Amino acid sequence: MGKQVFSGLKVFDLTTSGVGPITTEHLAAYGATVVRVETSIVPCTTRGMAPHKDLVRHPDWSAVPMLYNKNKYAITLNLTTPKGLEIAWKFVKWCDVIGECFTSGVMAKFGLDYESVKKVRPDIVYFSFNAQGQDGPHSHWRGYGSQMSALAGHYHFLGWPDREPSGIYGAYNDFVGPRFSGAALIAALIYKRRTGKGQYIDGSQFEAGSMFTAPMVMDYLVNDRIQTRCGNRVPNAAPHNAYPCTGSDRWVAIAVTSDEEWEGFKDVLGRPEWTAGSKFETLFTRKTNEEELDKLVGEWTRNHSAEEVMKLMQQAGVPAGVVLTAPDLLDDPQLRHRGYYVKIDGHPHVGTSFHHDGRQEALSKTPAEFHRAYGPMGRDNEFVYKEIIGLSDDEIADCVVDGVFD
Amino acid sequence: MLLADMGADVIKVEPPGGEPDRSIGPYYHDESNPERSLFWFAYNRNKRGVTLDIETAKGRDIFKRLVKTADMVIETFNPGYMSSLGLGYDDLAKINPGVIMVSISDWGQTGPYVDKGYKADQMILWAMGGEMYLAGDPDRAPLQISFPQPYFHAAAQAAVGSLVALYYREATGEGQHVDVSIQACLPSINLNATSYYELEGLIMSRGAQKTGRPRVDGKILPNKNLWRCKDGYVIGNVVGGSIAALLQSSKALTAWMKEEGMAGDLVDIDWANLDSEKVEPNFMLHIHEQVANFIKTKTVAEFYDEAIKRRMTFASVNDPHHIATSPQLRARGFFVSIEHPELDDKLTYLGPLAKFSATPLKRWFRSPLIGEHNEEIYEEELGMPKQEVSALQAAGVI
Repeated sequence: MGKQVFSGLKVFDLTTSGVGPITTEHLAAYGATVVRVETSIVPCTTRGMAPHKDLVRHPDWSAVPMLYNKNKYAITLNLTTPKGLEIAWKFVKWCDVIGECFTSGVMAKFGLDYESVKKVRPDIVYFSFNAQGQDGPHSHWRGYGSQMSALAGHYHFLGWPDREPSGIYGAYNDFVGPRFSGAALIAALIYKRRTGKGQYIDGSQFEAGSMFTAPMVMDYLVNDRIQTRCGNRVPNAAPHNAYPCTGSDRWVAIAVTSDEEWEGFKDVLGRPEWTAGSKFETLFTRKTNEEELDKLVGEWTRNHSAEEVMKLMQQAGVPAGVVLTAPDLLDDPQLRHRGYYVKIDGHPHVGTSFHHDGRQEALSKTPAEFHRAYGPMGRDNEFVYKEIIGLSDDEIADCVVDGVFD
Repeated sequence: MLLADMGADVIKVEPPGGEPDRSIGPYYHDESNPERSLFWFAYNRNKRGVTLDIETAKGRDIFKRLVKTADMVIETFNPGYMSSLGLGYDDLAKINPGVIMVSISDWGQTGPYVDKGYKADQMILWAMGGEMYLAGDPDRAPLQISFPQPYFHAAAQAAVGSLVALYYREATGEGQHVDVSIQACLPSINLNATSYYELEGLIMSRGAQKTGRPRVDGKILPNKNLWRCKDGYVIGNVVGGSIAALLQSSKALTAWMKEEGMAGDLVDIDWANLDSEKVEPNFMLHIHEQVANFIKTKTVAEFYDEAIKRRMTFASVNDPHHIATSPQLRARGFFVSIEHPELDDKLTYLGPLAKFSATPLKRWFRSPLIGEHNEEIYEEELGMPKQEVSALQAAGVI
């Protein structure tokens, strides 16, 4: 592995769960040395999540921690022990970046908050990226990505107008936040490169998530209007929906966004009688009769496979796409072309039995590289404590006995 | 926008007459006008704006002059379009070897879908990114988020990628091409759906979000995380097990319900040892019924405020009004007020992506009017004579 963008950059990573680890993983993907701290006192929630290799429900066999911590060193450190704190300060002196996403006050409890660290390392770049920020009446709130999605407005906007919100599988907001914290962190690193100055970054996942619904919030602030979920409908296109196809729970998404596309759409269907005449002739009339339109389109798609509909529509210049499932994603030729799903060696139990998500952006000269899967808890203790912290074998043995590496 | 918010000088280059995005609503006081789009306002603050027709030879000359002193060029055209105009990465790198070109497109710059010219809107991308299958109700069609998201994901990820490239440029002076695929920005949002399939053979689908577990043998295991209040909804899991925060939350909820005489037999539950997957489904339904009956006696605000005090992991399902009036966001100073002199108004925006101690985000100005900075940039900064600019304007080049 040659020199990468962040080669030599050292990160003391105290993040847990999803958002924090994905943030520091931006650096790890491009070559930074990231030492991630876990503890069995309060295990990272991802360690308790399925799936597991061979259904072995053990924290060291879980795939999710591996997905968010590619390339990182996995260590365990018990900050409730004096020796553990002493070692933490050695990491502070060693690193360039500290990252954490605890509720506000937790790091201060350990004496490892920014103000304390700054006294010893005024040049440090330290980021905190928790649910609601470091200050404010709700700063000590604890919750999960799906709940952040509720706070940020995504939940409200997903579902049918005649029903309660539907929700989406996964912790949606966990994948919004790290794009913002990553940008903030790398910008701060650039600033440090130019000026030598470190700083403290205080981010809120609630705030980051809200950026993706900002115009809706402004619509309320400016126009006093509260918009809401509306299925798959959009103002400027019809048909615009997911339609059922042959097979079990197979769907195709079709979007007709122009008169030209409507002509192509009609061609694909063979210009059945219902498409002639004024009822569905313009966007306006199609929107007016959208319920009936959707029903009629569905009656046609029901007799075709999703793949066939997509192909026929695309050939006629109409945007259409199969509603891909997980197995479909793994097989998608475009994602395969991008090398999106990657197998990464290095985990003693899980091995390369599943694909990791790779990078979404491709840099032409300095691409990301995934050279090592994230390990079981404490997998890299010996290497990190010896080579980075400089503990002797005896010291390490004592620490193990004293629970310092719990 | 993210770069602009952090102090970059971002010049928005629009075709004469303005960009199509200016036609995206909602509009200020519903005035359907390219200078009134709230969508445009929200995402183009802190930028300057010029008009330029790069399909003309003279327009391309001017573009190249701007590239000469640019750190980054960001574009979202179909792959190949910029190259066809002689403005591809290789062309721009000849003018400015340090330039970072950031290209955001549906599928990426190359690949089978690009070769076939596949078209997409945000819903199609959401479907092809694996997210649509995971959203909605099991008895109806799968869904997109009604305020579509894929472009935002790609844009924010592009900020990350372009800053990585800029960090590299700082050390080496070398630019590069950053190729962002909107489709590729979506699959990881599914958290673990692909690895769930590979390791356990289970396929997550819509409906699984209410349980965190896939449908097994066509049945969704009972769990529940959406609860109706008097005036809206809150979301939270009521489970047992070993995750400290959830355990504490379930215990705190039971205690609260007990205080109000509504806990019933929930007080007898040994939450730490309750495995919601192994216990009788009917028992979980019984727990949920009791909890639902309690929560529906509260308003969203009442429940959420109390949940925070008692350290319960619940959140309010916020609509735009809840976000706009959030005491937390307001206390954080997340809303910034920006002047719009032409509207004789000050509008409230969602502001800083983070609080920076050394480089706080303090510069806020409204999005550009169409061609607002033509004079400033073409005449003052590029040194083009006024007559030339006027002539180009008349010819539709600017």
